[in-house]
Amino acid sequence: MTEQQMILYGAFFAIGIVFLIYHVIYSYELSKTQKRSGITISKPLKNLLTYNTYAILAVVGVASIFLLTS
Amino acid sequence: MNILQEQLGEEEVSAFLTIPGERLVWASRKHSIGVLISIGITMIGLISLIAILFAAFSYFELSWPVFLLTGMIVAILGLSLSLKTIVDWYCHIYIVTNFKILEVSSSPMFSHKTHEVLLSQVRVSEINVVIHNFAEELCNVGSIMVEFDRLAHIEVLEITGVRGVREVGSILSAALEGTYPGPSSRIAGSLFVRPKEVAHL
Repeated sequence: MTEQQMILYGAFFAIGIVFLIYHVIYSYELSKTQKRSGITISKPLKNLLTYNTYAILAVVGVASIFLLTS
Repeated sequence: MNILQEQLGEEEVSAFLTIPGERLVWASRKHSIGVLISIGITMIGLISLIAILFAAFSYFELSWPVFLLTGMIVAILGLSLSLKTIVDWYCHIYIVTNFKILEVSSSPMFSHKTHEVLLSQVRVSEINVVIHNFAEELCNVGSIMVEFDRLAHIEVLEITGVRGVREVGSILSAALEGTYPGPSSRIAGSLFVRPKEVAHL
């Protein structure tokens, strides 16, 4: 495994973390929107947010596995 | 419950019915066709990008883990964009009651807009129903433009992407007719009338 590939996996891991942070803040803001504006957030929409979290976590997980095994 | 449900029920808008005796006339989101088109375009872009990446990776003979991770990053980018489109659509609602017309548009982390017109303070002069093109006619979608006299901040409130626009237009026309307290009560309280004997001086 070359050093270049390690840097590449590290970059993917960092992008995944950035996405995760954005998503957590976005979900928090969405829950605050419900309190602020009175719009009820439905269960299917909450489920969609959860699935997106899983997808981002999968990217971070795969990147970290490649990074650790390299 | 469907995620792209447009019509809002009484319990969903109960937080907005704040005036005693307030009764819901109509409450809805925009037609979901707009969201579906946006998501469709995003998905087509996503698939095209992954195909281009696949071709590039095959041509330059790069390793498959890098392709896998790049594909996953592109996929979560598309998912996040689609989610934002859905949330923005979901948090944009129109509510018409017997006392007010309310538009709430919220985009978490980005923007928030609340536009409330109290019907006791304005006079609804026109309610126009507009279907702009063939596609809208086919889907029975259109805009309703509620025009006020000059007492409101804006003169025209446009409710866009309304499903069953003709029927909703009729409902709003019937509901908003006679909500204004009438010119006599307003004029009596707001206009100064010069006494006749002063006018002769």
